[in-house]
Amino acid sequence: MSEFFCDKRRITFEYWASRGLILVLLLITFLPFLLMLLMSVKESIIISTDLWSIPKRIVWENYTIAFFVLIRPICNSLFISAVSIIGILIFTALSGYAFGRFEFKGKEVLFLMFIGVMMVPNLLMMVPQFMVINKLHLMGSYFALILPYIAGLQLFGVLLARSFFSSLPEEMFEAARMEGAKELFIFLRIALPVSWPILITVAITSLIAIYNDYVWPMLTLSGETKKTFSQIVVSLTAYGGVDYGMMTAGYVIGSIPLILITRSCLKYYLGGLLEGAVKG
Amino acid sequence: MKKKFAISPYLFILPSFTLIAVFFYYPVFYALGSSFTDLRLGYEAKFVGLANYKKLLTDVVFFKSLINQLILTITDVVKNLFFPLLAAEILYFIRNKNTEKRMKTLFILPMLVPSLVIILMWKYIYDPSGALNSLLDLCGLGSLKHTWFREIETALGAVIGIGFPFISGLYFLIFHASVSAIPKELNEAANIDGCKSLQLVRFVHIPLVVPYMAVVVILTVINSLQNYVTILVTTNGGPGYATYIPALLMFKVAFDASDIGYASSMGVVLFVTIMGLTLATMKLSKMAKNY
Repeated sequence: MSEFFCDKRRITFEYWASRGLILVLLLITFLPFLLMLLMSVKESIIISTDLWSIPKRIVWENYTIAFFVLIRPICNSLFISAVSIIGILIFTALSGYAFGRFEFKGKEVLFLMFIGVMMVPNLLMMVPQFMVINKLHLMGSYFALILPYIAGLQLFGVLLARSFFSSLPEEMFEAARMEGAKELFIFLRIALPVSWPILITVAITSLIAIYNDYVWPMLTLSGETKKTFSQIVVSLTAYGGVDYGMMTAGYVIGSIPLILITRSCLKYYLGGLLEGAVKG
Repeated sequence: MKKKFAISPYLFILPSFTLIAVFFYYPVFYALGSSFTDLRLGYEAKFVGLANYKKLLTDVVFFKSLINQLILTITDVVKNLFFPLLAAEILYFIRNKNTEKRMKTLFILPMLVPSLVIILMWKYIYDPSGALNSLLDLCGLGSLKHTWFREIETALGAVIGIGFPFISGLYFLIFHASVSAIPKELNEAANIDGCKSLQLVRFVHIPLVVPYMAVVVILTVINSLQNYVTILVTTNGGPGYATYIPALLMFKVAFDASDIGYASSMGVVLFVTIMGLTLATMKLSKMAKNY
């Protein structure tokens, strides 16, 4: 790449200018997060008076208080996510495989019906969905969240899964087909094991969406013990006056589960995302 | 050999379809239908024809929210096109491959943090006693301090500024991937013709990146029209109606005022708008590609 810098004198200026710029951009990008970390170990009073100082004493109490406030909601969120994701993956795999590998009457139309749903703004359907949940007597329970999550998040998954499954070579299945294996068997034993990178992408995307979802739990859940992380974290500023230290400690604690899980699957997540974005 | 009718494909997609039918198709038609009624939560619905839509045309708040939406969407598109591409391009010109890789990872890192936390952190930054004002004080620009979210002039601008410098995320990844995918031969050819990095970018990279720009624009527009959570959490539409967007208005009308008929009509209009804009953007990007 050094071939680009023909004019030596211009190199120096452009080179250093762009290097400087990117560093500045990087710094600004990280500033809110560094600030969050900094604030989380300071006492509230010191934050109010001297925001940018290095604390003389690391206030770990912020973390202990925040931990006890957040542990139940975080577990709730993770539980809801886990159950939802299992459902999402099952439905995604089944439908994605069917659209990707089978030929059947009405396949295009049915697929369009899937994609068509994605175009409708979620907001339009929120009230009717609310009523459906009501009619099904699910209001206030976790299923009020889980079922709509599966219904909605499977769409993106089916989109990705279809591309993936249709790109698999037929030879993989020929042997089993010739021996007369049942379709379900072929699906479970051959197609599914190969598809886990795509499934990971779908899982992570769903996790991020569910973990961050604020409005739907607010509308459908009841009871302090059932509240999700998203609900509680928004109200952190209200707990016993505004303790910015505890608030930011809470933000940090709340971020940890998501960071850990996403980080471990980052490769697959990013790969799948890009494929989806480019194809879509 | 005649092809047997296989039921298995249909069985495979049955679970998904059941859920979609219950949670999407039924609600869509319900919403569509209720937009022609005066349905309110807890009351009997009465058919009112196009009354809701007529009301929409004279609703001042709705129009204010449309204008806000226009501003927000345009700025969103600019934010998502310019900054990530800038970062991707600068990264492209870095000689040391390791540094480039590390920087790329660093830019991606913030994606791991829950978006809700990021929004809340920005809410704090804009707080009167928060980081932005404190920074201004430190730089001696104390006179520029504002109560960002509470003042009519600054509220919308503050919302636009959330997430500065707008680099981290999916769009940076897309541009980084697209710039990296540019074949080396093209660069070398331009080099031989007497390059300058800026010209290289303008005449070689950008035309090749245009398809990806189209994707970014479409995704941004769709997202921008539907996302009301950021505003809900930061300004709640205030002060007054300064930061209302149609999606937020719809949410409030449906759940605060319980005027479901009216909210549904807004939703229908929103849906048609999104579809229209998406199609328009796709047509435009096809044109741009040919150019």
